[in-house]
Amino acid sequence: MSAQSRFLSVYRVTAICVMLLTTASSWAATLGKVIPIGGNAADLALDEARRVLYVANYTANRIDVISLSDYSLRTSLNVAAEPSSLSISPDGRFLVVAHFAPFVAPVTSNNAITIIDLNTNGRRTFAMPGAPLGVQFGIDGRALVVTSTAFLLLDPATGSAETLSTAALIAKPLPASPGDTPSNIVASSMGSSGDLSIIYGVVAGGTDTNTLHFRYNVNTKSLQTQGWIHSPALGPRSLSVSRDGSNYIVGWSYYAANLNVIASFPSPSGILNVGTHAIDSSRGLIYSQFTNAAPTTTATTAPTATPAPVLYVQDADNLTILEKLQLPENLTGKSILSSDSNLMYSISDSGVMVIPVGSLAQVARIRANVEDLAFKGSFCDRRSASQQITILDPGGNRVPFTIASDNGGVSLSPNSGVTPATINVRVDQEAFRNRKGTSAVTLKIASNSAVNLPPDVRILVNAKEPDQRGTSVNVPGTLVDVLADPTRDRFFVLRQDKNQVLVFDGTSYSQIATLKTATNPLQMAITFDRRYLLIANDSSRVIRVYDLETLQESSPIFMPGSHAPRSIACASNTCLVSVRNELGNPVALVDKIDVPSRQVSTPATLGVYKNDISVSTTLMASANGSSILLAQQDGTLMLYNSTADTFTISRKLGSQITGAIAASNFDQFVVGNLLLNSSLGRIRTMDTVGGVSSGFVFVDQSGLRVGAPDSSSPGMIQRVDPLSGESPATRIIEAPILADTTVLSNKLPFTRTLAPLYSRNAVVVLTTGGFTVLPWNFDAATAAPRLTQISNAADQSSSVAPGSLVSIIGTDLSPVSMSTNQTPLPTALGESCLTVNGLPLPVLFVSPTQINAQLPYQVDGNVTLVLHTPGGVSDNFNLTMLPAAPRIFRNGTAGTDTSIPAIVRARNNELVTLSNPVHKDDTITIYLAGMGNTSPAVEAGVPSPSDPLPSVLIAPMVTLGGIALPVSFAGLTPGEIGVYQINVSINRRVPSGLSIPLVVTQAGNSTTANVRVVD
Amino acid sequence: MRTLRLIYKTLLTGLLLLGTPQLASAQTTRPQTHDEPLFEFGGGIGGSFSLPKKITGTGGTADASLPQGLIGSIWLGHNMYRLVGGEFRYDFETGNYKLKGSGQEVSFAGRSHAVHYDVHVHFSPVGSKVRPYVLIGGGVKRYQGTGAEHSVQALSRVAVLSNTSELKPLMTFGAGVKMSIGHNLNFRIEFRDTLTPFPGKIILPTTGGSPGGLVHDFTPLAGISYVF
Repeated sequence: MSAQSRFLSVYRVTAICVMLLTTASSWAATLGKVIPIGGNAADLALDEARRVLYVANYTANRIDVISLSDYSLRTSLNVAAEPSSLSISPDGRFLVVAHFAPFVAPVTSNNAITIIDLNTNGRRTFAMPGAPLGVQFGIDGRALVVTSTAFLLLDPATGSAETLSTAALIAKPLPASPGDTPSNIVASSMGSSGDLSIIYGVVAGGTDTNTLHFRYNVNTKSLQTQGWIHSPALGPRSLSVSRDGSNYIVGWSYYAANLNVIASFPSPSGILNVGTHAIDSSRGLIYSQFTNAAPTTTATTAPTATPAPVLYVQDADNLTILEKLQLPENLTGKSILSSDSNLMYSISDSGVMVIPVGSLAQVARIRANVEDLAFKGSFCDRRSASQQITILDPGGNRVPFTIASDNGGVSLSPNSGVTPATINVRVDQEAFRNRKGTSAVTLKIASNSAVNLPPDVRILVNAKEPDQRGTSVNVPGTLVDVLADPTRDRFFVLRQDKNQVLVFDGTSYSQIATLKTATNPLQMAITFDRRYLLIANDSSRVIRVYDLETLQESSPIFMPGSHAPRSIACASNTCLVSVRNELGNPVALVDKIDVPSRQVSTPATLGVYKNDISVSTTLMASANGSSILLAQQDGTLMLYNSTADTFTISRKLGSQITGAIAASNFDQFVVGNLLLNSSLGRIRTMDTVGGVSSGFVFVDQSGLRVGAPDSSSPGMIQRVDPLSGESPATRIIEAPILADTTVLSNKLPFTRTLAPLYSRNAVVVLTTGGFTVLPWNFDAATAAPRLTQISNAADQSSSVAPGSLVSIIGTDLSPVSMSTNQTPLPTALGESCLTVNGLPLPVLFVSPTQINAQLPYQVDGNVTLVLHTPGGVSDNFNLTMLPAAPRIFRNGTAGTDTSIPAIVRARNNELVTLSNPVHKDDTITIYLAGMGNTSPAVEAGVPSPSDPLPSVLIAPMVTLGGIALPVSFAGLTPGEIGVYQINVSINRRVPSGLSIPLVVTQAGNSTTANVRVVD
Repeated sequence: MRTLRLIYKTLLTGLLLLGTPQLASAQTTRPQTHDEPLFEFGGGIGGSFSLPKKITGTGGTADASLPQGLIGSIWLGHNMYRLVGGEFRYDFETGNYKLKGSGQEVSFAGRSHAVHYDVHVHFSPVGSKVRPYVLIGGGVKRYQGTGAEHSVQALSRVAVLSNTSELKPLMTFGAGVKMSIGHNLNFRIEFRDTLTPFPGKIILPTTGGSPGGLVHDFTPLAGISYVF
C-alpha cells in the first residue's frame, strides 16, 4: 500500500467513525445510523475492496449499492424479482443472487439465480426448478446454492451447477402475510467461517418450529445435516458464524460445529420478524437483538407487543449480557461485521443500519460504579447514614444524567449531573424503622444522551433489632443456590444473572474466586468423591465442571442435543440431572451422568416408572450418597436408591408444593413443610416457620430450616428434631431467598438456601441482600459480654484519642469471628455493636475475645463504652480519651519478621528495616493511629479524602536521634480509615547507628520507634 | 583455606627475610646517579579475591565476602635509592558483597576506593632490565555498598547488606617484578594482599557486633609504567 493510499484509508476510517458517532449523538440516545432503502432488505453482502455494501431489496426487486464512505445509496442494480440472498465470490468478481419466489397458483413462481459480473456489470439469470433458499460462496470459488430440491455447487464463471445432494425441503409459500419481513418470509439463512472453508445454513422445515441445519465443508465437499424442532420458533431467522467456523447461531440458539445446541438465549419469544446477531470472534462477544418472553417454561406464545429496540452485547462464552444499547429501530435479519469487526451492518426496519460496535468507548454511556449499596443500621445506630456512588461513562466521556429513588426514605444529592459525578446517597433509618428485614430500594439512572440502558442500583436498608441474629454480607445479583464444600472450608453461591459461581472463604466470608458457568445456571452439585463441582444451566446443553482443589475448569459434560439441564444431584455411584426436553415429548426427563467419563445416558425408565417428569423437577442428594430425592411442584415425589441403582419409591402428594428440599443420611426427607419417612410417607407437617418455606438442611441427626413471610421481612430459622419436633424459631437479620410459586424457566420451585460450613463454625443462609452468616450455635444461650481492656490498635498501648483505632479485649464479645472491608464501616458487625457515650462505633473486626473499632471524633475526656450483643449489654467501661495519643503502628511484616514499625522510605516505598535503613537524605512516612481531630473533619468509619487532605489540628514534633525533623504533612492517610501519616525529611545532622530513636510527640504524648540510620 | 593461609604466610615471611638485608645494604652502598630514572607513573588492572568471614547470628551462620572482581590501579613512584623506592597509589575495585549460608546467597553491588603509600624494596638496582621487589604499605580504603535495598533480605537473621559507605585503614604486603620493555617503559606483575578491618556497616551482623579481625583482599595485577 502506498503512503498516499494508506493515508486515504486511515482518513476514511476516521471519517466514518466520526460520522457514525456524530450520527449517534444526533440521534440522541440511540446507537447506529439507519439507511432507508425504500423496500424490505433480505440479505447483505460486504464488498470492502470496492467499499460498497450490496443489499438484496426483496420487495423492490433490485440490489441496492450503498457506499461505505458516506453510507449513501449510491446506485441500484435491477435484477429479477424477489432477490432474497447474496454472496460475493472470494476473488470479488461475481455477486450471486438468489430469487425466492415460490408463489402459489395462480401466481407464477419466479424462482431464479442471477450471476452478476461486478467487473463488467454483466448479468445472467437462470430459472430454478425449486425455490432458492440461500446462497453462499466457499473458498473454492463456487457458490453453494440451496434450493427446496437440491444442494448445488454453482460455478459463477460458466454458470454450470453440480448437484451435491438432492433434497425435499418445504419452502414457505408466497404470498406472505402483510408485515412479514423477508427473513421471516424466506425463513432461511446461510453464513460462512472467516476463511470461507465452512458454510453453515438453516432452511425452513415446513413450519416455523421445524428447521434443517447443515454444515458444508468446502475442502472435503462433505455435507452434514440435522433436523431440529424448536419451541418457540427459531427466530430471528438469521445465521451468524464464528470466525473459525467452530460455532454458529441461528435464531435464539447457539450451536457447535456438530450442529448440536450448546446454549440458548434465555426465555426467547420466538419472534421471526425482529432480531439479529453477529459473533465478534476477535473480542469474544456477540451482538444481538432478541426479544424475551415472560420467563416460563412453555414460552410458545409470542408477546403481543415488541419492546423498544435494544442491542445486547454478550459474552460469547456463556451469553452473559454485558451491555444494553438502544437502537433507533428494530433489526430484522442478517448482520455482518466488517473485517476489523469495528462496524456491524444489519438489516433493519427501514433497510440497513450501521452500528459502530468497535467504537463504544467513544459513545456516551452511563453506569454506576456499584450494583448494590448496603446500609446496615442497628439498634445502636438509628441515625441517617450516607454513602457515595459514582456515575461514570466507561469511555471517559462527559455525559449528562439524572438519578432517582423509588423510596422517599432514600435521598440523593445531587440528583443530576455530568459524568463522572459523585452522588451522595442518604438513607433516613427512621423511614425504615418499622421494616425489620431488608428493604430494597431502586435507584434508576437515566440519560437522554447515553445510548445504553444502565442497570439500576439496589439500595439495601436493614436495621436489625436485638433479637435478630446473623450478619448479612452483600452480594449483588440474582442468587439461586448455595452449597458448602464438604471437605474444604468454603462455600459456593450461584449468581444466575451473571452466569457465575462465587466462591467464598468459610472463615473470612470474603470472595476468593469467580467461576464462569454456562447460560442461566440453576443448581450446583458436588460429586461424591468431593473432586468436582457441577453446574446445571437451563439455557445451555452443557454442565460446567470445576476441580474443587484448583478451582480450575475441567472438561465439561455435553448433554444430548435437546436436553437442557436444570437440577443436578450426585449419589455415591452416579449423578442424576433433570432436564428440559426441547423436543417436547416428554417435556422433561432424568439423565444419568458418569462424571469420570463425562458420558450422559437417558434411562428408558425410572425403575418401574416412566422417565417422564415435570420441568419443575428438583433433585437433592443425601450427604452420604445413599439416595436422591426427586420432587415435582405437582406433589409427585420419587426416590433414587444408590444401592439398587434405580428409583425405588414414587408417591404423589395431594397438593402442589414448593419451598425447601432436603435428603438426610438416615432416610428422612423434607419437601416444603413436610417431613417424610423412608417410604416418602408423611411423618408430620412442620409449622410454617414464619411464612414461606425456603431452605432445609440435615445436620447429623437433626435439621435446620429457614423461612420468612416475604422477602422484606426478617427471616426465621429453627432446629428440627425428627422425633421431638421443631424448636422455637429465631429471627434472623433478613429473609432467605424464597421459592416462586409459579414454575419459571429461570427458577426451580424447590430452593436450597442453607449451607452448614465444613468448619462447623457457622451456617450460611442465602438471603435478600446476599448471604447471612449465623453462628453454628445461633440459638444457644449466650452470656452477656464483658469488657476487660481497650487499647490503641497501633501498638496496644492504653492511650487513645478521638478517631483512634482501638482493640477491645474481653469475653463473649461476639458469637462469630468476622471482618469487613465495607466502607463506610458498619456500626454493627457479627451481631455486636458498640457505643461511646451513646455514639455508635464503626467496627472493623469482631471475634469472641476481641473487637477492632474506631472511636468517634466527637467525644473526648472521660467517656463510657458499652457493647451490645445477642447475649445482652456489657457493663459500662470507663476510659479517658486524650486530645491526641499518637502511636506508631507495629503491624509491618518483612519476610518472617513481624510487628515492624510502619515507617516507609519514600525512595523505595518499603518498610524501614535493618536491610532497608533510613538514609540521611531520605524522606520517610510514619503511619500512626490516635492523632485526634483534623481539619477538615472526617466522620469516623469513612475513608479519608484525598482532596482536601485532612491535617491534624495539633501539630506533632518528630525527632530522630534527638535531631528535630521538618514535617511536611501530618494528617489522615487518603483512602484509609483512622490511619494517620507524618511525612518527614531526614537531614545530615542525624546520627548514624543501629538503633536510633524516632520520637513523635503530640500534645505532650510521645511514641518511639528505633530505626537504623546510615549515611 | 588452611593451605592457602599457610602458603601466604610462608611467602610473606620469605619475602621479608629476603628483603630486609638487601634494604640495609642498599641504603649503605651508594646513592642513585642522575642519569638513572627517578620517577615512574603507571597503571594496571587485575582481579581480586578475598577470604570470607564467618558471621554467626540468631538465624545461623553465613560466610561474608568482599567484592571480588576487577581492580584498577594507578600509581606515582619515586626511586629514592638504588634499591628502594616508594609509590603513591589509588586502587578502584568493583564487585558484589556476598552472604552465603544455609543454602541461601545474597549478593549486593559494591565498590571500593583505596589510597595508600607503599615502599618497594628491589632486588636489583635502578636501571636493571628485571627488578624483582617486595612491598609494604599503608593507607585508607573506602568501602561502598551500592545495591538496591529492600525490607526483606535473605539471611537477614545473620547479617544484612546495606547501601552505605565506610572508611577503613589498610595495610598491604606484596611482591612483584618490574621489567623494562622499551625506552622509559616498564611492565610489572604483582601480587599483593590488602588487609582492612571488616566493613561492619555495609555487612551488618544483625547481632550488632562485628566478626572482628582483618579481612584479606588478594590482588594479582599487571601494569605498565612510564619511567622518567
